[in-house]
Amino acid sequence: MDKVTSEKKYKIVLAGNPNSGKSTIFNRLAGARQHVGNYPGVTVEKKEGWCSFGGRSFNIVDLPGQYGMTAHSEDEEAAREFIYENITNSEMILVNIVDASNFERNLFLTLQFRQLGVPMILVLNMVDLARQRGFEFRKGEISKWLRLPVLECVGFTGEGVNDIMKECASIAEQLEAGSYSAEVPVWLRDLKEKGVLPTPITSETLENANVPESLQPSQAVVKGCGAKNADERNESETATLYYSAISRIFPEMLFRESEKTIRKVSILDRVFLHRFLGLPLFFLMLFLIFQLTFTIGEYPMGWIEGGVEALSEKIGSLWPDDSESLLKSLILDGIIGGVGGVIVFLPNIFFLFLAISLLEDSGYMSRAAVLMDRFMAKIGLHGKSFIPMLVGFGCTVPAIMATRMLENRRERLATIFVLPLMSCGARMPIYALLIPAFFPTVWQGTVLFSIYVLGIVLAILLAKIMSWTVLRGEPIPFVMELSPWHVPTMRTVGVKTIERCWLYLKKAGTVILGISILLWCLTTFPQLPEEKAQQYASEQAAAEAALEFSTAGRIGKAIEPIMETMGMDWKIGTAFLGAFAAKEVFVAQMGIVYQCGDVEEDDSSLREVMRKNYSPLIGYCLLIFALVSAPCMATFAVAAREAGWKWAAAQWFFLTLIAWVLCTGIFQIGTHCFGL
Amino acid sequence: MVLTNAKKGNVYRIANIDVNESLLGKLASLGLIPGAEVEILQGSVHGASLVLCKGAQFALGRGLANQIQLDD
Repeated sequence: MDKVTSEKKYKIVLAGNPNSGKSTIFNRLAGARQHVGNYPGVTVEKKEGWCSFGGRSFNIVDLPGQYGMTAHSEDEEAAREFIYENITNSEMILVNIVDASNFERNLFLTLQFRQLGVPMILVLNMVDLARQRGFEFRKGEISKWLRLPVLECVGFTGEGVNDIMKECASIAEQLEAGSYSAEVPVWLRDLKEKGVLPTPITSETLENANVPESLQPSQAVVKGCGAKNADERNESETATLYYSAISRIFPEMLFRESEKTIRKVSILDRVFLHRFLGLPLFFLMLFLIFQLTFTIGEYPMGWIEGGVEALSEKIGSLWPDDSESLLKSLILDGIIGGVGGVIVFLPNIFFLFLAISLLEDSGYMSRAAVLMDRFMAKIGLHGKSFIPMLVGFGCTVPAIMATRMLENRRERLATIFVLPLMSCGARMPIYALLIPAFFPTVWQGTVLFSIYVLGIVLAILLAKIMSWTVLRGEPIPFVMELSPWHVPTMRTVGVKTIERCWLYLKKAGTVILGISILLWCLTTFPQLPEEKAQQYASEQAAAEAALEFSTAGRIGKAIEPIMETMGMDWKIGTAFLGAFAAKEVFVAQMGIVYQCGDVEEDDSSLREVMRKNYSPLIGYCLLIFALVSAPCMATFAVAAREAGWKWAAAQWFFLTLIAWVLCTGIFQIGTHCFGL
Repeated sequence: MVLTNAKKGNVYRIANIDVNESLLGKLASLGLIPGAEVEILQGSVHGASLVLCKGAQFALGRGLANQIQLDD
């Protein structure tokens, strides 16, 4: 029935201002048939999906939000680059999603898009809200001025979303038949080339192709840029020109029922941005997120742990009990142990991302950035930097990705640099093992708290020092749009959360799997010769000797002189080598070096051994070292991609150096001055 | 008068913004350009000014608000 004459697959590209509801429409169109090209974060690199309509299959792309085609952030740059890359291949249908209640400002981007002369549709989203505010759109007029199809829709309810597909299919058909014309309206071309504004005429006049040359530029424009050609005008002058044009055509495009626009600060803003209440509420919110993440997350964590164990046993039973098979060890200790250890954190990650998605979609995140800006600016960071930092308590990898929303490279680099100091979820097992081993019950909570605080204090100091030295510069002015408060929908929040969790799992399945195998090799080879292994009385003693003989053990020995100044030995060195792969591997490695076999972080026998071998002072140094030193491999890889290899290497080296200096200082002072 | 000193609830026209070209361009893409009307929603929220411009609500840091000149 459908004649598919060519294999051409059209790309429907959703573009528009931040908070215009693109993602909601994208989720409606693509449903489950979508994937994200990269690591998660508050903003995502490139969301792609598929959708078929009328027997035709479309590619759908959800671009990051942008205010204009002159990029001022990496998000905007990504969106712009994508559009420019696809401008010539004639397969792109640009769907400009516009927040209808904020139409005038949104038109700025719409005009820029329209000037590209690509197939394009204008979608007035959230028209219900706009109607409440007293707007009634004259779609025919808008269409005449801009010469493109205009649709109305409500993304949250799905009303009118299907029309988008209908229109795209129709454009695709016209493109194939060669009957589609995306010619730029004359007045808009003149605006770009000559800086000439449309006269205040009705759109009927525009029907004539012969628009008089002598269109009157407005006063404001004559002053600045009327005489210059397009290339000479600078950005703000061009913008002024555009807004002048918009202020002329805008009144033609809609009816406005008196001034019903909301011109008051909403009740929620009065509360959440309150002079005295704002910050306490913010900290309460953080506290609740942590409670949610770690308290509720504990239950499903237990189930996953049980599942991983059961799987491990099941597979282990394929071999005889006393089997020394290398393959068995690789699968059980290397693969299941390594990847399982990461998957266990999925519930934490889930709840953290859920909370973050809720805060984002409700509109609170931008308010929180306002609250934090004054403080963050003092340490050379941006109000928005705190969002990645919050994510960093879950996992540093998505946190680094989240720094993309920072517009200034300097602030972005500084934020990335200090992010590993936000104690991530994977350090938790280390704390859970060490703290009860060295400190009495009454002190345990305080010790844990002190570690988190130390991380934050170090991050502040480091950011401040960087703003004085390598990242010196003028403070970046703070400006942020506060989107209206929304009740988040289950659909968008759910999709966002699951998407981010899925990407986390994918990381476990790829990077961590690879590293786990590598690490297993390091701790297994070279193998202890058979005759030597038999000299040992117990199996566990032999295991320790085997580890000492392995590559990891040798590296541990080689770095022992460095560890000694902090009161540590080669065994700990080996364990920290494992922690580079993933922080929580530290626990498993300690289990092996102390011949306790497979251990969990609540293993009392390992705690017993550690208590015998090290003092509480060393225990505390261990905690600090685990927090500050050597960000894990996944962090290193993402930092390298986002900030460059030099930065990632510098970060790795300096954080390790700082950790070493700090721990050495504490250990030496503790032993010599206080006799601890 | 600079924006920081503007009175809550009043509507003003932006006369001049005294910042570099790149930031000027960014503000322009947000709709904050000389000639635009802004309404002051709240004078100081933790150091930032809350304004309404072309239907959208913005928070402007103190430093920036000091560089925005308004017509009375």
